[in-house]
Amino acid sequence: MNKTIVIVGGGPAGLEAAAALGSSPHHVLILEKEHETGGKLKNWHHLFPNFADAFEILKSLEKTLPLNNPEVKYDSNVCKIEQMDGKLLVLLNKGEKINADAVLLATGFDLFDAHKKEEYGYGIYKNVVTSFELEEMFKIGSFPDHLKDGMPKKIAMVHCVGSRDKKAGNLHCSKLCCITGVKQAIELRKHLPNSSVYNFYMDLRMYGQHFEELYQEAQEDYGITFIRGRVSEIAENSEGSLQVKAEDTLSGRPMKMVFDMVVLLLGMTPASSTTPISVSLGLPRTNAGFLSPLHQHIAANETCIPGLFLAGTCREPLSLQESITDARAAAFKIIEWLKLKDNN
Amino acid sequence: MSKWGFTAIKTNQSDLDLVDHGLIATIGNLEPSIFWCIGCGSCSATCTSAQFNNFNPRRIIHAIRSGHVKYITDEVDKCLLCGKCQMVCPRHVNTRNIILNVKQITGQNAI
Amino acid sequence: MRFDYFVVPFCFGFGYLIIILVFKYGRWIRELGEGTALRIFKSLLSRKTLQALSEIFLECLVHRKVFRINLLLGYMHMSLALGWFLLIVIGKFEASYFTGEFTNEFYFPIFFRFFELNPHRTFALQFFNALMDLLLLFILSGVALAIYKRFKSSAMGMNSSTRHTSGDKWALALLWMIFPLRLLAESLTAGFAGNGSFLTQPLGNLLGMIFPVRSLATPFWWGYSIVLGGFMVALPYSRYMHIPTEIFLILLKNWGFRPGESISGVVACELYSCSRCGICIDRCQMDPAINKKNQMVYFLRELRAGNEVTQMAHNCLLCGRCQEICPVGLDLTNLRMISRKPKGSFHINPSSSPSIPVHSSTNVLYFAGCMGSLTPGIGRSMEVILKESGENYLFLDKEKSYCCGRPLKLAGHMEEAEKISQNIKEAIVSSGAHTLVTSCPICYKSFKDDYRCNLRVLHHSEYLLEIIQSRLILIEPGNQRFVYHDPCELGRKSGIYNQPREILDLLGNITNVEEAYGKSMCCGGSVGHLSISMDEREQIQKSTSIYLNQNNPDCIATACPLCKKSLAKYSESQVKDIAELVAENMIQSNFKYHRTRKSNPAKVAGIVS
Repeated sequence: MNKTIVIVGGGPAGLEAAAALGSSPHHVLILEKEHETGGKLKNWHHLFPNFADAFEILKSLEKTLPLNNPEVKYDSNVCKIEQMDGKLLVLLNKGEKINADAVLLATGFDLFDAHKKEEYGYGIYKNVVTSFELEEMFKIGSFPDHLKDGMPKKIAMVHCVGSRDKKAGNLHCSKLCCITGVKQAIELRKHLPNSSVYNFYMDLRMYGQHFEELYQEAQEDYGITFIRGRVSEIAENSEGSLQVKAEDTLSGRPMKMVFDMVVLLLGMTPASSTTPISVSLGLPRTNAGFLSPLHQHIAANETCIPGLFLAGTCREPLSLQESITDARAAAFKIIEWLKLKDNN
Repeated sequence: MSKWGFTAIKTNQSDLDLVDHGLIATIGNLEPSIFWCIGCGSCSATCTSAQFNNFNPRRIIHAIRSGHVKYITDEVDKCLLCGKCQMVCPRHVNTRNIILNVKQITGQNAI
Repeated sequence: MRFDYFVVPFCFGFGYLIIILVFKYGRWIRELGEGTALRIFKSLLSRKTLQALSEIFLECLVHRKVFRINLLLGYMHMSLALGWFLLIVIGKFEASYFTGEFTNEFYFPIFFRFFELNPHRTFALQFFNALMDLLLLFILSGVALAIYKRFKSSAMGMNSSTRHTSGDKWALALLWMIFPLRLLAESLTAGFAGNGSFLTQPLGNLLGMIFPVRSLATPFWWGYSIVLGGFMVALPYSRYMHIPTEIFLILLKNWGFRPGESISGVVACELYSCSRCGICIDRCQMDPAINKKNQMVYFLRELRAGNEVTQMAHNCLLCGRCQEICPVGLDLTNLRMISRKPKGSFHINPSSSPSIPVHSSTNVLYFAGCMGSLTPGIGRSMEVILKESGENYLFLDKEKSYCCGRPLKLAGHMEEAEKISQNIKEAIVSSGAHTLVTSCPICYKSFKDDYRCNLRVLHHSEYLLEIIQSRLILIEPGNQRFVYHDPCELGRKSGIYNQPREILDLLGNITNVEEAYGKSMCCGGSVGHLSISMDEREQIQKSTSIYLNQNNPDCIATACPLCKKSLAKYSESQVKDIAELVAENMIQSNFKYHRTRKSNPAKVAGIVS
């Protein structure tokens, strides 16, 4: 019996789940709020820990799209989901209604808004950029003119911007920014061989396969300096260079240093576009604000609402490979659930 | 010759079995947020006094936890109570109140 | 000589009260210091005393400030205060008119209807008689309202009312009994003597039909005297001490005496002037679930009782919302501050505030304040504006942060605050500047009140308005809808409410919220609170933020770096400082020319010749 499965979000998790569901007889529909699929993967250049090409991975995830399987609706924002007669009614803000047998939320994450950390000067000083903007620069292959004519010499990477920070409203660790910081530091040194890069961290969370090795490479082969101290404030000099203040906790003295560019490693927060959905369904959230699964260990892709499933970073910070695996798990759970419903 | 011999040998090694927990217990009661500190150093980085002398709020919190009372009583005189430390703390540690309490305890009846 | 033994309780109580008051007030006057007697003597026959008398009438009797809070509450207080005052004064006139002599036994007017049983035949006496009955009715309506308020205070605009001690409750009971007993005593006497008026006579006649009024009257006169005397004995130990003491306080304040830094003199007078009305409780933004019995009324009660108050003293934002509404006009935040003084030694190592290198020949000094480095947008905007204005300025704390010393003062350490601010004072002098501008209201208050430096001290909102009005900079108006948040230290503490609003009027449109100006909410960021947890602070930040956003403004404007940081976290609309808004809307000159000021404002202000 052909069922309708709606996947909210056409990012990596949504695309992989759709591909995994492609072999099932069900009709899969992706609702994507932008006019292209790919989520944040579109904006990335190389991925940790092995500098894999983001574009190629994206292409491989999107390979079944030209066959209209799954079907994708672009510019479609979901404003409400209602439970109705054992099914889920999905309302788009354009007015369209879709009656789904199962819904997979793959709405992803938002990056922390760096304007909120005013003391870091984002939006005030032009030479303060975010990790997201830095990836753009890597993709283009050059740096803006205001950064020392495109050749910044001294660059600071600031870890934990918007994560592990109650003042920013996020106590949780976003997991991926540390390895991103190490990766981007190496890439900076590759792009700008005459530059020196300094990473300011509280802890270095090298949790994954090959992460610790990459860290060692950063120290040994690329001469990146790691300073254990959280940056308290950044000030601008008259020429636009930036003075960073932190404590070098390992030597126990407060320090300052002048840089041409500062990169803020942004944390992950739950996607704001998910709020109307979770509010209309009464879907609970974790303390960090991510969508709460039915059981963190054994039912991580299911929710308390029958027919509603979760995949990817909408439920907790996950790396790309974890999101992809998670999406497949969610797809399996959906098929299993639909079979069970049929048999009853 | 005085370098050798069997007189009492001073050790550089800190013996954590001998830590005096009295101070952390007292301060912990007055200001429980001291337990949340992760030693990130933002407080010391932004501290007004620390620009000019070797006052170090992070180190003071650490010293309270490890019972280094003498160090604390000498150092807290350098705090201006400006409050920037708790303004930046990512863990909401009320560093200013911790130091104020140490000052008031050591002022009234020096430990 | 008119006498009956029942007047003895009253006389005893009255005498007791007078002796206590003389001793207490005498001690406080002695505590006021050298030259007090001369000062009082000089002020006694001056206009200041007339001002004081007018204030006493308006606040102690009419309770004008309480009327502003709630009409029914004001009426209740006025009826008891003004009513009782008039009862005494008119009663005195009535007795004197009757006897034809100005002085009689001092208890005579109070028990007039007991001693004079002859029905009143002349019109004037009947008029007095009716007037006294009217005043008694007036007071009784107040007593009825007071009883009602104990059960339903929200009917008079008060969500929370003071929880009184048992001592206060006894005094309250005595007070409430005075006038009903007087009514009954006078009515019973009127029942057999016919010397009542429109209230007491009918009641007396009614009672006369049921009870043996002739023999019942005397016990009730005894009751009236005992309750009156009892109340006067209880008064110095209860909240009602405020009745005479508030009058004394108003006189002292009008004669120029100010609260000091120790619990003596004017401060002691303030402690006894608190009527424990409880109006301050509702204003406090601290969570009552966590901070039960910590509001000002309870703090003053503990202070007056001489109890240990250090922890309570620490537990206050010093925002001044309670002070603003206090009908007695007490300097409440000062009381918390001076109670924070440490008992032991407390000194600051001078290396924490070293001397500041400054070159002379500067006109305007700009000081961002220590929080300025955490809100760099403000300092940056001020620099852009100062450059555009062509002013010869120096950004004093651009490279390093210095502390003005006020956080120390707010923590109760006045002397230390004085010591560590020497470096900034010296820098001000050696710079030769005629104007000091600061974007932090806390520093502004410090510089203005405590530094006593010989130059103009301006908050940046005052300065920006000046240079906009004198066209040193030009701004382009826009359409943004602003809500302005009054910082506690700028508004209530320094009285600067209008200048920021005038600037915002030039930049866009202001939408008003009710809790503004002196009633504005506190952002929660105060450095005045020593022990508050960050979670509690955030509760306050959140509620103020939500309140300010109620009309969905485009931008919340404020004039303090602490307020900016506190509100920004939970605010839906952006939070910006006045300086940032001016800089954004400023027309920047395309060509450089040096604009000079037409006149030196310090000259105009009379500071520099």
